[in-house]
Amino acid sequence: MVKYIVRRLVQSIPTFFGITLLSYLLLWLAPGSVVERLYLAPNIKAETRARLAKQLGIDDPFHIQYLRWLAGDDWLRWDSDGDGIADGSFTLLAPLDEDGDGIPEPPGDNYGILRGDFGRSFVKKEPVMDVFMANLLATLELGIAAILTSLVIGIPVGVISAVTRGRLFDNTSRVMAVIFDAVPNFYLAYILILIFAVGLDLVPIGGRCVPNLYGVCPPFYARMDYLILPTIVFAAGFVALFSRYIRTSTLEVLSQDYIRTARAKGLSPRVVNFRHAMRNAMIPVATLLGPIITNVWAGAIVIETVFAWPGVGRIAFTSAIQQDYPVVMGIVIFASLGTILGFLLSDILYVLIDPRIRLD
Amino acid sequence: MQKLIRVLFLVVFISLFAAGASAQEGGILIGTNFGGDPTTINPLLTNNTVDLSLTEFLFPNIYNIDPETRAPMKAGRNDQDNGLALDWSISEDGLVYTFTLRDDVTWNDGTPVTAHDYKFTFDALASGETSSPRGSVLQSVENVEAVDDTTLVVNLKLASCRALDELNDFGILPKHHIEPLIAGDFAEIDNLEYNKHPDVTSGVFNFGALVADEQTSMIRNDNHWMPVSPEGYILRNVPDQLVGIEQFLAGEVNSVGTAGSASVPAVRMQEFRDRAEAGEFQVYEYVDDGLTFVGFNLADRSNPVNGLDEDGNPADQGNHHFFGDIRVRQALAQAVNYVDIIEGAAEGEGIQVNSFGTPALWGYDSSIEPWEYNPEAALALLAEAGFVDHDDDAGTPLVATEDALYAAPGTEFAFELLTNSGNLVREAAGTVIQDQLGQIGIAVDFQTIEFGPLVTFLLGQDFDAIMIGFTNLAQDTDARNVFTPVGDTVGGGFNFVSYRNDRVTELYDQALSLPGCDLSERQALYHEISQILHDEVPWWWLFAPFSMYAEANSVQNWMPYAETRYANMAEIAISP
Repeated sequence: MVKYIVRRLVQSIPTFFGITLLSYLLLWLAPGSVVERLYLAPNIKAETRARLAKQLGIDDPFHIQYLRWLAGDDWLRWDSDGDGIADGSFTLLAPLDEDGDGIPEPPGDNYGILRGDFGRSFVKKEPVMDVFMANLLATLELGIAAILTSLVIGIPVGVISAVTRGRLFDNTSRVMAVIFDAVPNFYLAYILILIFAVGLDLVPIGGRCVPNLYGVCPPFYARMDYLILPTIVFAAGFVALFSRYIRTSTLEVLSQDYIRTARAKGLSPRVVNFRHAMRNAMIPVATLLGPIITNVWAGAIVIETVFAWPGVGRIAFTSAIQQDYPVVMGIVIFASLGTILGFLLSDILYVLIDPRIRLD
Repeated sequence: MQKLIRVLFLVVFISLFAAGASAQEGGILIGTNFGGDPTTINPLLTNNTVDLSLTEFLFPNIYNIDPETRAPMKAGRNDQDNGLALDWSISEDGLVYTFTLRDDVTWNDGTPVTAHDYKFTFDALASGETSSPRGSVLQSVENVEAVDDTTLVVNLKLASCRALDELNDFGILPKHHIEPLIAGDFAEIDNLEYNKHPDVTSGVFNFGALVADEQTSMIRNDNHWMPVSPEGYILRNVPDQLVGIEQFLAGEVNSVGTAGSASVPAVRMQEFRDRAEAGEFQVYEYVDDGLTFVGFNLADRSNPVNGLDEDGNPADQGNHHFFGDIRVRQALAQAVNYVDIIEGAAEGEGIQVNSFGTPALWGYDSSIEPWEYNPEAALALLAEAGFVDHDDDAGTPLVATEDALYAAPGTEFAFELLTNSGNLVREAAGTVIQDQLGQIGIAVDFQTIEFGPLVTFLLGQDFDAIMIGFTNLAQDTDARNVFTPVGDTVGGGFNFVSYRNDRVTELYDQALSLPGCDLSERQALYHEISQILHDEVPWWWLFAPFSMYAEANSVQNWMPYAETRYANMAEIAISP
């Protein structure tokens, strides 16, 4: 098992670098820049925009920008006598006096992601990790609530569907599963907001906490009214997914000999269905963990935007629009790592749940 | 299973209870912010309406703007506003401005606000080491001297009637607080924690808290010499405008938009008008200080070059095969029905403009007749310019004859019109233009593209025609960077259409350097410019949208003006 995990992790390294390179390249290829987006006005001179672009380093060639982001730039130019002025450099990558004004460029102060420095947001002017961590809890809160809700609803629905195969409950749940899987998140969100928040006034219209002067957000159990609608929208697709998987695997399990034996022993249908059948039918759910983590990241972008939920999805959306590369890349890394580890965890869980399976 | 159902019921019960408890308390002003978190709350670095919506209540300026006339306003002692200048004088040669400042304004830690604070802020800007976008002031200002606490002298490099505006382009930082933090290195200003949590301020509010992607708050400054009534002002960050409007209608917030933005979309203005008339809430409407237009590329797009060569002489930029001819541009200006455009694109919530600017700007000349829809006159002008219907088929494009100035004979009249995708107003306007020009034999390849690429085409001067909008135009009508060769630089300049008219350049220079800077004399010069720009159509003048503030009835004594939602914060009271 350990050998397998180590091998998978080692195999993930080139995948991870491939993802970062492609993502950075795609961002770099996108026309325009954060400076043009934020400082495009007749009263802001082209020279000012050029100066701002230089300060951010976005006027450098692609390979320099990527290298700086990946491995930092403190080693490209260095200040050996500590006077604040660079006195040595890797000339090919970073000439000492790059702009030819007779003054050496300052030594770099970025360490790169390989040394845990995700850089600073171009827009918020804060370390990317701070930007990310400020919103992470909100996304985890919503993501976990959605996954738990979908498991709590999806698993029993799947089992009951299988047990009542071909009857009203089964047919209804299958139709509902298709509908909830197909309806776009944002559309479902608007419908629910209009009915439950605007029409019936049962829950607030978006947000995570009651606005207050000191920016204090109470614990989640004291503001669950804010969590209800986004959780439902988030969970809708997952419920559909889980219930269909569970239904299929339960049907398979129900035809096994040991189920017939359990029934023959006189066990009640509830015990047979939920204790014997459901347990074994759960195995395929483990394989969904990887895709679910990916879906949480992706779904958060839309759901958090519609519900004004201050999570990582919001940062991803606004940073992509503003071409705030360091933040977008930070999120790409966390999403990539989450997905890679999620799939690995799926494989491990599969083995733990089903002793017949061996990792090879 | 029964336990599970019980837990679910409990969750729903708690939620409904909490929902009932979440009603806002009275006394706090809550607005919706559709523009994302403030990027900075440092008045030297701010660059968007969200930032400015906060800094206007937190930092002093050299003077205030009269909300009614938009002109610089001298302060009186004990004014609630943060304008410092009681008076100012300008030397005869226009090169020295002397300001006399109030001596009764303090930072919230009790330290007086002085001329030294302004000088410190200006010096930080002049260092060029911060990421402040406010570079234009440095073109005309040589230096700033703080003679004493209340006397500020500004020396200009050259007389400029924009100097007064430019000197007020930024709020003032507390020198005594910032200077020790940066240890003489102005570049450090960019990295200050202060930029997100300004603890030393001087306004009717103190800074409260910034919760990322959720809200920003300010709390009443009880030590202010004229404390306001609201306990605080919160901007809720709501990225979806539709959701924000429903929050307003449900009474969860007091206003749609921030202090610096209106934000009621055109499509809902009539509904808001009706509901305001019925007494549901309050609205205030005005003509926006921005306009939507189509820029015609007048130069050869295949070889974009700067308007001036290295020696400062006019460069040969070639001519666009269609739009290089003024008659073609004038024909197009008469080929579309502006009523249809405003109705179709902006739900009728706007007015046609006749030249650069909008009626919200003092330099705008409302007496100029805007172009009228006259397809016959348009066709006649096009025929004169050498573009004719060669096959008597209205479905095919006009073609160029030998008489065309810059188009090769036989060239079909077809051009590309670009705008940014996602802007429904411009997308609709483009469709109307495409349809109506098609009716007179001009094929428009209308494309909507993402904003980033659009900017690249625009500043790279690689386009035929491009539809965009200017918003938040400066209160001064000076558009030298937009319509003279100074701004015609490929890749960055705002004269992206490569317009050149020596008389216009001369008039802009005169208006900027007029001795005494008399407003009415400058206005006459800008009016002459407006007439030329109207006649020569370097831009296709379309419309200026209406803007609408919406405010809950709970906000009492509300007195808004165009571009100023809360002109009288001292009198505003929030009823529970």
